[in-house]
Amino acid sequence: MYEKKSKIFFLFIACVLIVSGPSLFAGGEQEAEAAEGPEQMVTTYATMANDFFLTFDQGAREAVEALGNEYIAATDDRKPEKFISSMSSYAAAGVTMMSGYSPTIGSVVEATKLVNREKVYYSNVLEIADWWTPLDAGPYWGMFHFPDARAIGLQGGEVMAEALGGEGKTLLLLGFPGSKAGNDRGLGFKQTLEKYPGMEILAEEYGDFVRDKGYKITADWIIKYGDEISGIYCTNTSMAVGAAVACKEAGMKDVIIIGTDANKENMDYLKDGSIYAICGIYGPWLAGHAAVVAYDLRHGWEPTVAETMMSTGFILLTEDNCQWYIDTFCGDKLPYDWKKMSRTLNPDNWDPQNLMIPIYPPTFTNWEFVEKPKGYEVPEEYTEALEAGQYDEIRDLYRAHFVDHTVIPPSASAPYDKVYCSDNTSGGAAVVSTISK
Amino acid sequence: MGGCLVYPPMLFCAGKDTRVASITPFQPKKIQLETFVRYVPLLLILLLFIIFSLTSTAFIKFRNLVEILQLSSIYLLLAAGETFPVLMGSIDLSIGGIIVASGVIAATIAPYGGIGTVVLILVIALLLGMLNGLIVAFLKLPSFIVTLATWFIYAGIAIALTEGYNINIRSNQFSNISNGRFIPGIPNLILWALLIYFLFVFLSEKTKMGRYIFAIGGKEDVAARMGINVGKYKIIAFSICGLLVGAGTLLLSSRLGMASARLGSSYLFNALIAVVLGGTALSGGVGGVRKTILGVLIITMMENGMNLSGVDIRVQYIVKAAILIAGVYVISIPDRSKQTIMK
Amino acid sequence: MASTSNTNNRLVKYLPFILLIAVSVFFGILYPTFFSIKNVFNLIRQMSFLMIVSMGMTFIILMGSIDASVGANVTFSGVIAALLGPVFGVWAVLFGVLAGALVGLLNGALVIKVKVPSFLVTLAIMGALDGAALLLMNSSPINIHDEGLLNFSNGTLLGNFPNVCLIPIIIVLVSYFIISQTAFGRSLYAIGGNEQATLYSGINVRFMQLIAFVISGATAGLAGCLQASMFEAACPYMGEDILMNAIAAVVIGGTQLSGGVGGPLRTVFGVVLIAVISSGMNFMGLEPATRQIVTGIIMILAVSVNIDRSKMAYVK
Repeated sequence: MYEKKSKIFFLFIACVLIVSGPSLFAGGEQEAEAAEGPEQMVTTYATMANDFFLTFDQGAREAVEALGNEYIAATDDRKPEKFISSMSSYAAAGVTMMSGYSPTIGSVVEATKLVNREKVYYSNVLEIADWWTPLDAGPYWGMFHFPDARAIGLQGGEVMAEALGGEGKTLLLLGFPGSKAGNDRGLGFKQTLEKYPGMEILAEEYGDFVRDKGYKITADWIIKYGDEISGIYCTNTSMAVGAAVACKEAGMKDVIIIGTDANKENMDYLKDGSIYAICGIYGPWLAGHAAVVAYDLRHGWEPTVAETMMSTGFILLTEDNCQWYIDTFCGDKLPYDWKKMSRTLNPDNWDPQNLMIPIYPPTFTNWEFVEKPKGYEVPEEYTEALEAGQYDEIRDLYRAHFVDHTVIPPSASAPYDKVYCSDNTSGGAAVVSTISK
Repeated sequence: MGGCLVYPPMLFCAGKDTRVASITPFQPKKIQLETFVRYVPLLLILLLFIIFSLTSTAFIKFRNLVEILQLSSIYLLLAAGETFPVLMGSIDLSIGGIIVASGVIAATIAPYGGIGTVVLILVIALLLGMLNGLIVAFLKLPSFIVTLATWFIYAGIAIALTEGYNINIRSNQFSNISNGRFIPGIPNLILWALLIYFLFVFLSEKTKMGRYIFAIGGKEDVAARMGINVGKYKIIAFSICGLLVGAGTLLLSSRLGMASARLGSSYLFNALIAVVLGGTALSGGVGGVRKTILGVLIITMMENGMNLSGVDIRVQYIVKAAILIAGVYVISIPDRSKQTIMK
Repeated sequence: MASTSNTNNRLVKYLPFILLIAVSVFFGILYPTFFSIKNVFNLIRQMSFLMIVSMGMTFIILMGSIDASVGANVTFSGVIAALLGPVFGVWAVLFGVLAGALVGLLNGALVIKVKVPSFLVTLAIMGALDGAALLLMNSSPINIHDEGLLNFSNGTLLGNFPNVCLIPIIIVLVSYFIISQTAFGRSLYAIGGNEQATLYSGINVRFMQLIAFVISGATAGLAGCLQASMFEAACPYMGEDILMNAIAAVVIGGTQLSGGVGGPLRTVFGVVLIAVISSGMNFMGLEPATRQIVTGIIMILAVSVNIDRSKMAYVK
């Protein structure tokens, strides 16, 4: 019996060695060859089980393939340890360009330390840890960019107030507990409403960003508040659709419902009027642009201090411009010229194809109500750059290079014919800048 | 270098006969089948290893193998913890709740990652596990429903404390617990996990406590008639589960530099699957902590390998299900003939 | 000793009622609109899926097995119905139910033929169904536009009584009839009480187990169609919450996980209790975290007053 066992060990070890031996030796050769031909680029995001990330994946894939590289999607099921672990595995495999979304704001710290340890060029979107800048982590984390969540909420509040004529009782559907993006959108909405004495928030609730929760919570609210409800602000559009279905069933057709992030399936509800407005944040563009930034970093581009954190453009969609959005952005192929975004491929005539404005970290909206960790100070370089006028310079540079205006809604849809973007380049509180055709 | 991966399973082959084998009557033909079956988890690991080496060049790299071990380390402690209640025929569904509650409470009280944070995580996790045991033993309620409820409660506490945000612990000292390297190239996380794991393998096999837990899992009424204080050992088993989950939480928080406030159910399910794939039956009394490590390796290799091979996550769900059912089917072959009750 | 256990038993029998009435009175006094006709209908609508799934789950738990795949099955069947909606209209529901039943058949077959414990089989099938549903819907909700399918939940077959309230009532009555009046129902109790003895008694235990899993699958399928029809779409993971709630409802009602004790009417109380409490917590505007904690505590309390310890040899 015992002998049989040792035989099996031996077999096991032998097999492992046979299998692993050659590939281990081969590993070195492959790395040497890596510079030739297409390279692998990794994009991280939460899950395929979500329509937002499905289009996110599309954007990243198109960009990477346009750059002539091989696309790898790394999903993490919203688990920080899976996220870190897959980044670490791909770094071990010799991948030098990564970009994407991190499952929680907290995991950004470890991820950005990791890319600097492993010398992987990295650019991320949408979520950033509290009080943690690219200069804190190191040069391999080139850029963080996102459509400012607070500005989205502020704008949503304005649309709501206008639609209701400055008077009415509203409800607020937040995302996950702990989702910075969801909470900040809600916060912005509340801040706008404070300006209008006739507006009031009856209740707020976490709907986990999913349609069925949006439906259930709204159904409960309808019982509790009945005809008092005149508006519902939702921090994503899946929940807004849920709310719209619930209102329709209760015969409350006049409730103003506003959602955030625009996907093909949700546009039907905007078209038939059950949702009043949707804030479009161009998720696929974000994903693709982040990949392009990683590519540029890999090919020698060095961001200035002001460019390490950037705020990006978003739009407001209503019945008037939804057909334009569907025609332009919901096809099989996205309307962007990805190669044109690259600073290294087009040193003179690069075009971000969206509005981008640098973020000045000390007055960044995300961190306004978050205490700094003990002993933490924002790196001095940011203040020096501001004082040297670099922020204005970069803002104007990106504005000047933003030539392809595909993302700007047609002027026929005024007043919603603009791209909005948060702007704190003055060094003070953020304001919302706009650009139209 | 490949030895890195081979080492832990090898230790297990060298181990003594397992319980399953020792209680089956002697029958030459049977034994051959059983010998084969005993090596099924190992063979599965080998098979996965070969397949993924072929489908992904990245998989076989030394640093990726280390990565698999790092990922395994955390699941190893969670699954080893879960093995104790399962051996008794009970179950602990609350381990996800214990992870978030212990991490978040400790990080709220002691946010700077000193020795206080370390001790607090372990103590709180131990207490939460013990609470499960106390409710099961004193209120005489099924552990399934008790731990389902405490899962809600613990997870609720974690979210209430932080509004769902993770708490960053920015301390190099704390981060070094997992990320430091006593041996070049091998993160300490792996060493700690193995050390703790073997300690508890020893406890479960060489002490009275370990044997009693087996006895309770085998036949609870018989164990009680033999004079074993069943309630006491239930509390102990759940406390050990809490403590090991706490150790896992500590290493996880140290690795990620944060205490997580929200976790899905995947930690629980992966831990349970690892326990069962290792060969511990959910009905209790069969298997052992020492076998759990194989189940853990199968799970983490499968996840890592499929990710690196670019398998769509949705297809991964389906493949995992198939492997799980097939694995459990094969592992339980020797018991099949005796089995008349199917729950 | 005997008399105390008798009074105990009587007390135990009525405790779910008492608990339910206490909770209802509490919310009724706190919020006058809580028992308005509108909210009662709302309550019934909200508990409809849970009621249907819990009925199926009762069959399984009575035998001492468990079906962890019901939540994923709800999503999966909902997707099937939503996909077939444009072709078959309201009859897509039949395919949804059929899909659910087939999943149940697969579960049952794996349990009795492959002899893997139901907990594991159904847990694995849960993962596979999640993956399959996501693949089928390509990760984003499938909107339902077909009027017939939409009317499945919102229409009325019986006067002004909406289908979404009618269907669960029918399912409860049918389940009650099957479990209390048929040989199949009685054999479920026998299997749950003592499977070994039942085998010797000549009952075709394996076949009964298979049927129970098919029933559980079919009810999950029906709930999926109803849910998709109500949300006007099949959404990813839409059935996720149902699993734990269904198990909790069955157990809180007093059916024991070890099997052999309980029944569908007890489950009805479990479901109503859960629905009233969750709706009440919505009225109170409790934070989700607080709600989770309260739910957990109520589960332990409800089970500890409901459980019949005299019939338990030991506690696992």
